[in-house]
Amino acid sequence: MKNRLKEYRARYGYSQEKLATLIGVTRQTIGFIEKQKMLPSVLLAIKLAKVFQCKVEELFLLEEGDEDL
Amino acid sequence: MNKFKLYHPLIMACFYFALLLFFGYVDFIMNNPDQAILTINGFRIHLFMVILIIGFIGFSSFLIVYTYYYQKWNKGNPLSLKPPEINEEDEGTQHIYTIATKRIYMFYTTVIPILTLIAFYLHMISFELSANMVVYVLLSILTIHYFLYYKVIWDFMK
Repeated sequence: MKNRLKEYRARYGYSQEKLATLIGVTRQTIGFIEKQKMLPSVLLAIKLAKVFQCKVEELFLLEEGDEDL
Repeated sequence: MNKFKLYHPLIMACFYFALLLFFGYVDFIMNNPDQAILTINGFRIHLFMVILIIGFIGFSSFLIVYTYYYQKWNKGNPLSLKPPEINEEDEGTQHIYTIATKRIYMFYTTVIPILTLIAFYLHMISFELSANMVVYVLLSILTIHYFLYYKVIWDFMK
């Protein structure tokens, strides 16, 4: 699953540290999500979407293999 | 995750590995007392005593520094058995903890039966299993245990 976290973060001018503080996680967690080392929980995804004033689907995108149900 | 918690598994892996080497050397000297004294250009150096003193100072220093940083960064009781790397509320570090403990679980489910079989076999052939050998095995397992945990942290951080 891809994400546009880095893009939105750059758009808003937030550092990883700043974004982490806003949603209550560590800087490392933001880094892990951006590098696609982990998927955020639903709660964390919603918090991120709220900070960037967008929908969760705009932040996190299904890739070709992810769409198989 | 602060740096202490991040590097704690690596610190412990190095500590137990150093302890393993130290114990191995002491065990070797106990069985070969003639190797305790080294002669270089006519000078006799009581190598065993030097290593013992360095080891004592080294391990004591490590424990003091470790306790200081444990209390500073973990805000907990250093006598607690709970490792600081799992004492974390953050989602990312919980994710690391989940993957690391899964790998360590797989490691123990493989190693313990194998060691049990080996111990049983040695018992059947009347091979005398010394306490030293048990110590070597336990220290090796501990070293691998912490190394496996740190490997997961390393994979996430790179």
